Amino acid sequence: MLSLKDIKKSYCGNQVIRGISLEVPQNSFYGIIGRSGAGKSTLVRLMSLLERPDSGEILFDGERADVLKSKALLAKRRSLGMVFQQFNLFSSRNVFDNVAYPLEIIGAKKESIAPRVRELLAWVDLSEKETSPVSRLSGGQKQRVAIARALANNPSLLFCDEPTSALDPQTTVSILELLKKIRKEMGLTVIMISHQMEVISATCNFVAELEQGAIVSVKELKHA
Amino acid sequence: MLDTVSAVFAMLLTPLCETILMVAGTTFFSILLGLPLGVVLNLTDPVGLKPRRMLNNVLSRVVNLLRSFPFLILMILVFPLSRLIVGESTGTKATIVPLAIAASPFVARVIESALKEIDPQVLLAARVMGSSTWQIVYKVMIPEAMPSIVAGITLTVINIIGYSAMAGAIGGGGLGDLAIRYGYHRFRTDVMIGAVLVIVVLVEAVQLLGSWISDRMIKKR
Repeated sequence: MLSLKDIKKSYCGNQVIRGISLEVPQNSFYGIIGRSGAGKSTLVRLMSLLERPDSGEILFDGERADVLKSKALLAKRRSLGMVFQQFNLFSSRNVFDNVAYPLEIIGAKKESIAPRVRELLAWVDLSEKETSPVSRLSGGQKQRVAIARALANNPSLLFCDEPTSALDPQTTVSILELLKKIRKEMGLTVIMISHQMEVISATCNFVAELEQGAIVSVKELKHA
Repeated sequence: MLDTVSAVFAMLLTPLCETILMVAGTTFFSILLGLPLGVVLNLTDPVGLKPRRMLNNVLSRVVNLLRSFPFLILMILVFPLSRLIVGESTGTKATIVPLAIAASPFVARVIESALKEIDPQVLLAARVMGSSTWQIVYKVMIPEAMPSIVAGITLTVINIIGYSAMAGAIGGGGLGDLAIRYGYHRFRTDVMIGAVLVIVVLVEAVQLLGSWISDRMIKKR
């Protein structure tokens, strides 16, 4: 699915990622754990093609993605989904329009957008909130909208960057359950970045430990 | 007394229409010029979506230069350009040219700072989803910053009303022209007071409308 081959990244002479190699199997729930400053955010920016590595290769299904440019790069990004710690929803759009955004940017027709958005909102159990402004939702509901938005374009890979760090324990459990359900029923590959081992162990079947910009261990877990 | 009041207000009617035309025209053209300039300033900022330090520096200097120009001097300097575009260098239509040139850099800074207020994480989300820069600008940045943009444009319109009154001193037409010609040169204090009152009401109306639109946008979110 996703392979990293000896990728390195430096900022102003400071090496943040020090030769990481990873193999993320298809349909796995892959956790990457590390403390603050371990390089998690940089790694997720590299994997989601927001930044290019200084050296090394990023491959999706065997094809180099780190060398993609302009339209090909945008097309590749559109095949990935991402969920953030702070949800990052558009406050100028209501729930429906937030989920519709990824479909709008690929030029989907209006008549095909509405049923897809409604299908996704039903998936995340927010059908009745379609016209609500996002500011009036709880943290858990916002994250559900963000998940629906990330799934709009049928991504093959979903990145979750600390998706439960801003949520209370009860909501955390429900969001993790939702992610597990999505992975199972939609056949997605999920990569979750977290600093909380309990979150990783509750969901992931692989975990890679990141320390000072390097992977120090990869384990297979029995969960999920 | 009533006759005097109604006579003054009859005198004010045409200049008021001229002022409204000047302000509306200037607002339109200054947004037309200032909006793209503000967007480019924001995008090319070292922490923007398309950092271009050199271009940003040049544009920033040009904006600062135009903003620091005293308006009356700018208006005189722009006389030839006004004549070229409108066919005359004085009057209501001609005054729109220097007014738009003076207001555009102000609009550009208003847009630039409104766009800077957007949470960078929200823009990151738009990028991750594969949006092009243009899609991020018109589908995310401008809608997200709209309440601030409206508040800034309101401020711009109020400034334009002030500038348009100043333009009256050198044949710009409108309420400023009336106040100078009748109120000052012919010692018609009643006309001067009437013109000032109408300008105050105009500013108040613009501020109320701008605040109402901006508040409504915020409440809808």
